[in-house]
Amino acid sequence: MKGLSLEDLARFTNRTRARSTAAAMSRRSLLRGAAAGGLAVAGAGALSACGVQGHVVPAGAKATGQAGKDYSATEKKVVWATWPAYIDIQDDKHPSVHPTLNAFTKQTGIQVDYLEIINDNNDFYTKVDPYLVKGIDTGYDVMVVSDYMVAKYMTYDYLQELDLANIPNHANLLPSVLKDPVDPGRRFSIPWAYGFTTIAYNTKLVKTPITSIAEVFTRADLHGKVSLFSEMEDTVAMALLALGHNPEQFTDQQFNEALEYVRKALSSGQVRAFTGNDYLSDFQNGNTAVTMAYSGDVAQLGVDYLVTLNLPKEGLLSWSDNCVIPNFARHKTNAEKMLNYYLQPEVAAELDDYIDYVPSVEGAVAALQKLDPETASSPLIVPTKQMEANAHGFMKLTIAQLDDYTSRFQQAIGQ
Amino acid sequence: MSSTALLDKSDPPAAGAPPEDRKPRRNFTPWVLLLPGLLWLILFFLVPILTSVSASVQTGNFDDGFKLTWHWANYVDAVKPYWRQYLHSGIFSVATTVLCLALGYPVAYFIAFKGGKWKSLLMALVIVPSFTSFLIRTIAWKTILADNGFVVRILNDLYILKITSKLGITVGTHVLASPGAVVCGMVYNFLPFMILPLYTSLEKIDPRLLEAGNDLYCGTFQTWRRITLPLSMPGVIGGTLLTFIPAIGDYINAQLLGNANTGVVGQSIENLFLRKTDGYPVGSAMSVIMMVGTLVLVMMYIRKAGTEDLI
Repeated sequence: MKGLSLEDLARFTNRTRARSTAAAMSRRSLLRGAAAGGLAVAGAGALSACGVQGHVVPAGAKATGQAGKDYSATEKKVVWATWPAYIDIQDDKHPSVHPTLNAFTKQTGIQVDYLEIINDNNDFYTKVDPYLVKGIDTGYDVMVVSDYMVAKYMTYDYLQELDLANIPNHANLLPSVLKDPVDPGRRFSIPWAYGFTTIAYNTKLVKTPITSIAEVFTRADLHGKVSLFSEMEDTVAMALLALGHNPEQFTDQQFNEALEYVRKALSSGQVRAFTGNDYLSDFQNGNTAVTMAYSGDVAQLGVDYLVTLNLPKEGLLSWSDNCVIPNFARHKTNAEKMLNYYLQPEVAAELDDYIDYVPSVEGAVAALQKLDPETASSPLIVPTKQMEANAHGFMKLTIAQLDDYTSRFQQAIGQ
Repeated sequence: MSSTALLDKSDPPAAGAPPEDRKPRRNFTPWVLLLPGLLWLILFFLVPILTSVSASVQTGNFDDGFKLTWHWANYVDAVKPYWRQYLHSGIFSVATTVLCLALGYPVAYFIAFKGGKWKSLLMALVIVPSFTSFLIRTIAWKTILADNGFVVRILNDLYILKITSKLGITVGTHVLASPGAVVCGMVYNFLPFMILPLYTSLEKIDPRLLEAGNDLYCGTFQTWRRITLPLSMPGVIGGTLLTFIPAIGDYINAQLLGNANTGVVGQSIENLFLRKTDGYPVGSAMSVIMMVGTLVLVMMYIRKAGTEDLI
């Protein structure tokens, strides 16, 4: 998930042939991508960082898990920073109409500024960090960030504890979700989507089925047709699995081994590219035959010769993207009401039916089975026991480790 | 140069006379007229450059702030892990410039001398593609050169990709995600910048000079070498500079058409700038190295080529 808007735009052009939902998403990315892409080209990428409107907090406030003044009662709105194509849309013709959000606004009178502005966790972090460190409102009430980033935000006390009185549906969260290693009890973060990272391949180009991750890195007939993710956690975890190590518990030595494994696959030409959000375009065009893939993405394309490996031999990776409320958010109560709304089983089912990720709310699976039996039958959305048993998260790292591993990985992949 | 020097020597009274006649009074008009331009330059050229240079010797991060510590070691960090990127930037931009010249010269020559009444139309055809965004045009190449597209299939059928892959220009049986694709994209994008100045200088050449060459028993090639080429040198130099300078800083082609082994400096700077909370100093150092490096190369080139027209 790197390369900001360039990739957004790239995704657009290559995905226009995608069917239904994917096509709708691409159209949306175009408008955003074109505007932002222009900026990036002008060398003014920095300007986009200035799009944040700060409200100066009273003097003396520090950036330590503090609340600002809550304007929820007088300003009936929530500002929500999130990723592209991460919510339901009405149909292809109305890509910016989100039925679940509209229903929420109708129920509560709270307007939602839904901003699809996150393309990369680290990229977004560098945008909000200058505000958070100074103890200034970022302008966002809710941000959607990946699990390992929640740890980073929490280490710096950048997040506000949720007021569960406003979120009675918090009780609906599955026990496995509450047992989170980063945020036990889920007092700071509410999962937006759970998903898996696995392998997908093109059966037209790959004649012998792929069953393990190691094959992707080593099989001669896949030479030059493999694409891996440019985010450190994803690719290193895959390499660790292929080498027989546990991504949830590994040593420095094993990290080095994994990095070397990736580097070798790159220098030998086995790996064609490291991609971010745009991995699907090359995969769909047949430019890559094998790719790392996020759970429902490939199924969503609806192409029968593009198949996803539900459970590679070595196991698969699981991750979550989470809603958090940053310090000094201007509409904290409204934000909590909105999170509460999405924790209802029926709403969660409606959402997951559309975005194709694993529900994290009690009763959502049942609701999904009623709503859309076909989606509910996909093991990547309602995983089997065996998949759950073999899914691994990523080890919790210290900030220093995270920064060190990330920069070494980025250097290894030529950035 | 020499003629003005001669004038100065021979006519000192003429040059010195006016100040004696007129009262030396201050004339502010030129300064007022210059003001907007100067302000613009200060604000958008001088200040950013100084900021960049200053940032390159700072230490710190977003959380603790950046402080000017004259930490010159940033420059070591800006070169050591990234030497491959500098190498790629250099090779790609030189290759692009050479190819642009090789392709652009005949085109400009043809339009200038054989274009006739179609001249304007032909030049328009050269320029019109630039009306589309640079990004879109680059991404279009991803479709044209797609692995199962007809271009790649034909190249494979003719065994051309076998040869280019042996030479390290392409990788395997595909064109995309290879150094070759990056250079192709760059040549395509920068070609108009080569053709325009070439055309302007070729177009100015008096055809009677060429006729004279023929009359004096010069062959076609001799005429070109002794008359056309020297007279078009300003165009050649202008064109190569207009191509080389943006090409060495370009990273969009490498990002979209390259692979992980074709990283250029711009990509690394972008990464440091956007995705690291402590990346500003090293990123700035890399920018400064690129700016100074390009400037030195260009100065050397102009010296060597020796055109007074440009400086």
